[in-house]
Amino acid sequence: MHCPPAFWLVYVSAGSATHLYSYKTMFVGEDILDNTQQLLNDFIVREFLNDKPRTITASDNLIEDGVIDSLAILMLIKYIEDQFSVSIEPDDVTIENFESVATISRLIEKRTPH
Amino acid sequence: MSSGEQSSIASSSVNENIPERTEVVVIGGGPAGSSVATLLAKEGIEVVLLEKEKFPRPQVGESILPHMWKFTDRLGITEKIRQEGFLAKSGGIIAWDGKIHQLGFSNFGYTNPDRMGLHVERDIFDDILLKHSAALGVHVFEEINVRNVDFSDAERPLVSYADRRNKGFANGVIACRYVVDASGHTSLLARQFKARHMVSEEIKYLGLWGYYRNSRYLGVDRKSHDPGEVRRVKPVTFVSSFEDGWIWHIILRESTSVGLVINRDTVRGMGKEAQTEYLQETCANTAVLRDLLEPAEFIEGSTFFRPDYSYYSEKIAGENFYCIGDAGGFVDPLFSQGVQAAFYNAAVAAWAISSSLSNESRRLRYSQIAERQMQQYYSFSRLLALGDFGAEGVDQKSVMSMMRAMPRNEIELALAAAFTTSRSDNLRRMAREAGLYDDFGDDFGRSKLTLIDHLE
Repeated sequence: MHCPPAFWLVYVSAGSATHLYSYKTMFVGEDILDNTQQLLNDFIVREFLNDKPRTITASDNLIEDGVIDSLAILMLIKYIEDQFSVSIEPDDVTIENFESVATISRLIEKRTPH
Repeated sequence: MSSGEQSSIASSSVNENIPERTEVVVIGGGPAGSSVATLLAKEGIEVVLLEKEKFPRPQVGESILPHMWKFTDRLGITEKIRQEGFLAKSGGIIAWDGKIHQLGFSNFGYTNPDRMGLHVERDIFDDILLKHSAALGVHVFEEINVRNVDFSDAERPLVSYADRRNKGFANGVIACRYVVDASGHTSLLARQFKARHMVSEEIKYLGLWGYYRNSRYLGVDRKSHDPGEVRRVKPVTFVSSFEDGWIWHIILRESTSVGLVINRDTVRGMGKEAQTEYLQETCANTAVLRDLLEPAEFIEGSTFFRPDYSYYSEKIAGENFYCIGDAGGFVDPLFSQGVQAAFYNAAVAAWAISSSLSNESRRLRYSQIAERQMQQYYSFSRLLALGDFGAEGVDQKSVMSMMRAMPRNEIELALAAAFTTSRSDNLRRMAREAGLYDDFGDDFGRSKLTLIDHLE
């Protein structure tokens, strides 16, 4: 699979500060991970942040921030399985695995057959 | 009363034949059953719901937490519930072992007066929920007693029932892909699987309750009020402990529900009359309660009795079935967890079933995920209401994990409630171990609760 390098710019505002994050992808491996994070981000914003506009970073703790709760985690599981063709095991369903876009994408990576 | 267009769920269904097959059979039409049916029907799934009574019917469990509204939003029924005009309650006052605490929902972020806790007449509340299910396409049949479920063909569970409509008694069978047991205290599948157990040999509680007319009530201002003021000064749910157990006092629109949760040995061998006397005497001997009930009359024949509180089922989910609400487990109703658990578990089961119907290969795995979520909730409720006695068989790590995923204000409210009685020391320890308690500190109890010297 050939993925050209691409720049992803994500504006995140946290409180009064505005941060500019640039994801510069160089390698195929990184590209997949970033793509995953973007899809997760879009799903979470669409499903759970509809009437509460805010952007999220890959490392924001979604549970502590009240973005997702245990029912939202179930919806995420179904989305992940449909979108990425992986199987999430019952033991995978932990706070640690679902607390941020970064940890969720690591879980997906772990469950992706290599 | 609510809109009188229809006196029964779907008058046409009284004579309609029950189908011989469907996708999902839901046993029971209370909050758990109607919720799971509604959520599935919204996804276009074919659901047949079999309810043993004819609605509306009496039911207990009248105190509803403000957490409910997010579930009614999902069901699409928030407006209907609001329009009914149930009494809004501000929180609770708990008089336990000599200490009196007041818990106000507004201290926990519940500040919208339209989304408060409620005191509901369950016959009306449950009827609204079930009518909504029918309106969304669930095939609801009342006066149907489900006998058992034959799982020998895993792809095709067979639900056997007795159809008592029109004073008849016809036996029937319906085949389906998934069964949801929402049969309440009957806990049909738990009994069938012999998986139903008492929480502990030491805890043999039962509920004994009745209804009074013209009772005064305790308001958010901690004062006793005439029932006519109940919209102006919001009531609290008043809980008092006494030597044999505890008592609830829940004012409703046309009567007041007063109930005891006691060790069953206390009323062993008593007939209805003796039970009624015991209930009334207990109230008359309990501080504050006796004053609230002083001008009230007990409504003849309104004594109800429910034995066998505090049980759980070992097995609440499998590849083709789910047990939700009281059918999966029930504890002491001290913190109004029952209806809450019903709504939550219904959402979990609906997720699992709907996902499984769209992808069969997932169903066992999803039932395991769902089971864990649902057991966590039951275990949490047990620990909250029963303390150490509820700890037997509970996976504490799992509960701690769940506590960390709970919305902030919900876990705060639960922990605050845990402070009001001696029952939940275990839960507080776990909250500490889960790293939650540190956020609150020892001041938590003081800042979120009010300790009262006396009540007027």
